[in-house]
Amino acid sequence: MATVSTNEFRGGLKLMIDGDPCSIIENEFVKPGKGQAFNRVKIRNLMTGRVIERTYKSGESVETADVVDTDMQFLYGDGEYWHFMVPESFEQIAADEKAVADAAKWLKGQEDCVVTLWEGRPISVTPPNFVELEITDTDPGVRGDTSGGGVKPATLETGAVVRVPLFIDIGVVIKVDTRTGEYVSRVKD
Amino acid sequence: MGSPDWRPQASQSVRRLRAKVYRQIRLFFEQRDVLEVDTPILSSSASTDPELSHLYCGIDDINFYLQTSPEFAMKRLLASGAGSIFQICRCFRGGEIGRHHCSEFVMLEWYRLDFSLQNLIQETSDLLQLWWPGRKVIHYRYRDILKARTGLDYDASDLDDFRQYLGQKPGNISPALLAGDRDQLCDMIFAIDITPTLGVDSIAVLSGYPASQAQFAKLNEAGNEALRFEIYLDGIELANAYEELLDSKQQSLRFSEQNKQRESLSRPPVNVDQNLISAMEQGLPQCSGIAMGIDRLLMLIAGKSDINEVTEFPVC
Repeated sequence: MATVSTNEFRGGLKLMIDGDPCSIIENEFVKPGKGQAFNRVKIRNLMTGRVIERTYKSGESVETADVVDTDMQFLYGDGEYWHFMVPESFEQIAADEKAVADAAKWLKGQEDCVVTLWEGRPISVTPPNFVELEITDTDPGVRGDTSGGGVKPATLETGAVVRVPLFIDIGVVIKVDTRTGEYVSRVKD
Repeated sequence: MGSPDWRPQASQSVRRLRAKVYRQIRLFFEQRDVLEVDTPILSSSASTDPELSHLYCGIDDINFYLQTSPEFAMKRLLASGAGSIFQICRCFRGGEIGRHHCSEFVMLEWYRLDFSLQNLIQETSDLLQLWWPGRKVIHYRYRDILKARTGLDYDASDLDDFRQYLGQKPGNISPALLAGDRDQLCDMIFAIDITPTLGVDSIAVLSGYPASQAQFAKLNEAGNEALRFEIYLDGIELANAYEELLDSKQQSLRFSEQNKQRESLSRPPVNVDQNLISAMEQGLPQCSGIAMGIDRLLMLIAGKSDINEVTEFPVC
């Protein structure tokens, strides 16, 4: 069991808390001038996404989690699993719905994702910051209205729904920011 | 393109503020006839404070401690007849890195002959009012505020009452912390619940510390309180003061007690400053002394929330 001292705590460090892998969001060192030091830590549970707090005595050791972020390409979904590949080694893994979660709605194939592995098993998938997807359904475009202002919902080829400007039509490929789920621009061929 | 990390983290306006504050401090003490002194940072002995980790440096087999405060050297000057003195110097505390901590920091420390703690509280608030004119001084007493804020009685409550109180706090306090003794548990309660609320739009003076937290302060006549105070501004601990212990035998005893505590905390024992003991045997004049964190002072004046915004470069 690998452990780490609070002295090495920093954002992004992975710890095992109550049997779940977690990631440090924020580490605050507190020490009264004449008293004992402690660390107040904000931690994200990587399995549930919940943010929890822990307070450790400074110097205390905490078990680390074997969590690795790996660059992988999304290959295809088979209805139950999403299949990813490490481009260099061609090594493949299959992630279940729980791991892929919201990322699924941005993936159609060949996207470069970050797959988070805990002891070799995928626990979460981060899609690229920007994806380019075709609109498969939306209300008819309003010709000439490129000035912005109004928006309408549009369904993408992956099933995701984003809000787009009124002039955008079915068949148009758009760029979307996956972190916010917002329309960025049209993609010109 | 090189890394942008070479750049200082403090702004030019903070840099100017620091220079101005140093000038103001020097003028303040010059007007009060307190002499500026300059003592070595390196020493073969150091503070035995059980909660401090020392930084060392050395060559071949000779090791020196970097000072955690200039207290002992300044007390040797006091014993030699230097009169009232102040110093602005670098201090070093290993492992202390955070929003309010930097392993290398600047301390203002001063000692006033024939000053009671009351005199020193007055002088410290005079100094702070250079930057916060009109801020009122509010006094709090350790046992009273603990009782008022938590219902806990420092002397009478059971240790499990302190543990239960802390156990209910958000933040899941670890068993290693809850295993602490009375003073350690109270420290945590103060750090979590009490001191962050002190000194909002005021200068908060916390005094009446239990005798077991006296460090190098004299005790009151009843023997249950240390003649010690701390200053809090906007919830931040800014200064710690003692009416200084004069008894060399007591000092020796506290050194060895602290070294025993260090051992129980798995911290290396520290070489005791025999020169300080000798100086105290010769005779330390009645005095009160105070240490103030200057980086924190600058943080507060500049309205910054992170010490890194007032120090030029990170230590690492």
